[in-house]
Formats: sequence, structure tokens, C-alpha cells
Amino acid sequence: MFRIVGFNTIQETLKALLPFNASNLLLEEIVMQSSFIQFHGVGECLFKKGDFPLGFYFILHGKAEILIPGTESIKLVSGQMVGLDAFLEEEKLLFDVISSSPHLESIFIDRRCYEFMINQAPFKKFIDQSLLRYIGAYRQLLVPSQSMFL
Amino acid sequence: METPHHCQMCLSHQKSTFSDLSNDAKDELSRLKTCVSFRKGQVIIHEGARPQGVYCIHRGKVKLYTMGTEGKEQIIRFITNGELIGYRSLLSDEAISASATALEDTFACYIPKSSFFKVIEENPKFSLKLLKMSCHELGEAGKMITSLAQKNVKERLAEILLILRATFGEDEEGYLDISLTREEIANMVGTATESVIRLISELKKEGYISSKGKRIAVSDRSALQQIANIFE
Repeated sequence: MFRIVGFNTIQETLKALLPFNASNLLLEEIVMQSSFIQFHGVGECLFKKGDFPLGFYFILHGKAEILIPGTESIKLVSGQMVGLDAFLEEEKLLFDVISSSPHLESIFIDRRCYEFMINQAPFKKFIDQSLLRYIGAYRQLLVPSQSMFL
Repeated sequence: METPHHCQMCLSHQKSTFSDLSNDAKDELSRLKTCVSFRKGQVIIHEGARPQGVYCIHRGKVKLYTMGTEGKEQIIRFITNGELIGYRSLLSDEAISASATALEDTFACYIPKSSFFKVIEENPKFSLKLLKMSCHELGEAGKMITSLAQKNVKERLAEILLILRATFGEDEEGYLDISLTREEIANMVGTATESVIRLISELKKEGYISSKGKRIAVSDRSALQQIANIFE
């Protein structure tokens, strides 16, 4: 199906997903500095195990999954970030990340855009919270004796 | 600006990589494509991302660059109407190796991997065309490495000005039909902005180029070719 996506569409979607009231000027800057990336099928790859994360994805629409062999996958939905933990650690991705919905829209945030974002207090808090959610999700996959270390 | 729903109606159709395809193949490309508009200065794609599709530029000018250490850009080349972004990383199943940013308001069609691969599989001539494009880009990259390694800054600047003229042409006043800051020219030449400013003044004094604000015109093409050590 033919679609048209413009700057304002991305900005409005982003605004609706953020848990705080971000100014239009701030959102404009983020849309300018990030790149809009879409996926058109279940199983399409956002990151492959071993990729060096030069950025991370913020899901605007759709679902993604972190595939962890031998256990349940971690499910991510719109408003969540993909690859943030590896990006912050500057470590290669440990697992494949795929889209798990027929259509996924995201913005890819590189280091320059990230540096801009964390200088804005509400974004910094939001990124910190996202990271804590990540740790929580990983912890749930562990047995109690392992989870006390995470 | 209106972006056509069908590739057949695209103004850049004749210049496009897809121009030789059959109507059925163009139907396939048009079926799932998304048209995305980008503002001047907006990033289209980042190095390190894994987009599962290609962008075909409908209208606009785009710079392709990698980030060096200390965040300095190295411009690799420019992309304009009808050209593709991201096809090599899609074919090699690797993350994107260079970022792309719109130099002016740009309209591009995003063609998902499934449609693109189907067209490749069903059209051997198109596959060969992609292979040729890829080989050409490899050759150009080789030339660029040689130029950066062996030519001095003035020679490289002269070469870049000639490349820009060949890629974008001239406007009605004879200036290069692309607006680049001195910093962007320096990022393409691979030197400091101050050096580019000094050398542009030098070339101006020598009468080989003229400039008005950001705009540059090539006044003496053969002299620039001599400086750049380019022999036709």
C-alpha cells in the first residue's frame, strides 16, 4: 500500500509516545538528527548479534523482539528503545533483534543525536528509565539465584 | 510537492536505476513503497543502522559521509535524482557503512527488501546493472583513496570542484548547482575549513574560479584539470 511519510508525521508520533511534554523545537531537532527507518515484515533484522551499535532504535510503531537462545525473547513495543544497553556500553550486540510485527517504524538515534538528547533533563530521565526497564526485562529471564547479581 | 504513486510517473524515471525495468517490475516496486520527505539538513540514514530496503531519490541532493574520529565528517560522494541509497548493505546483509543527509528538501521512495529482491531475482539485466553500479562505486572509492593519499590539498580541491560540476551541473548564472558550505567542501577534500577558504581565494585570484557567497563557478575548466592532474 502506497504511503507518504513527512517530517511532521514523525514528529507527532514521537510527541505522542513520550511520557513528558517535549517542546516542538526539541522534537524538531531530534527528528532532524535521527533517521526514520521502517521494516516491512516479521523477522526483519534491526540488529544482528556482533553488530557494533553506532546508535539505537526508538520504536514509533510496531513490535520488536530480542532473541535470546534457549530462553524466552524480550518483547519491545512502541515507545521503547532497541540496542540502548549495548550502545551505552559500547559493546557488540549479544543477541539478534528482529521485528515481530508486519510493519515497524522507528527512528535510529546516533551518538550525536543521543548527546543532544541527554543534555535535555526530561530525555535524560526517560533514557535512564528505559535502561532500568531493560535490566528488569533481562532479570526476569534469569533464575532467582542469578538475578540477584543483576 | 507531489510524489508520484507509481514509478512510471516519476519525473526522475529516465535517470533512475529502475528505468529499464518492465511495467510489471515497476508495479512490484510501486506496490509497497513509501514516499518519505526530508527537510534540508535532515539525516536520511545513519551509519550502523540496518534498513531493510533501499531509498530511491525522487528529487533532491544528498551527501553520503562517514564519521571519522573526533566526529569529523568525510564526505564520500553525492547522490541525486534517480540514484539509490542503501542497496550495497542490503545485498551484502551488513549494516549501513555511511550516513546520508539531505542537502536540500528531498523526496525519496523507500522500497522494501522483499520488493527489491523480487525484482532482482526476476530481472537478470537489472541485477547486472546493480553489479556494474557497485563496481563503478568501488572504482571511484579507489580513486578517492589514491587522491587523498597522493595529491596535495590544492589538487584535491580542484578535482572536487570538477566532480561537483560534472555531478550537479551549473545554474543559469554559471555557478555550481549545489549549495555547500566551506566546511562541507573541506569535508570532501579531507582538510581543514581554513585551508579550503585560503585555497578558494587563491584559485579566485588566479582566475580559475569565481564565487559569490557560498556559490562557486568554474571559470577555467582546463586549468583546473591541469591543477588536479586529470587528463581526459
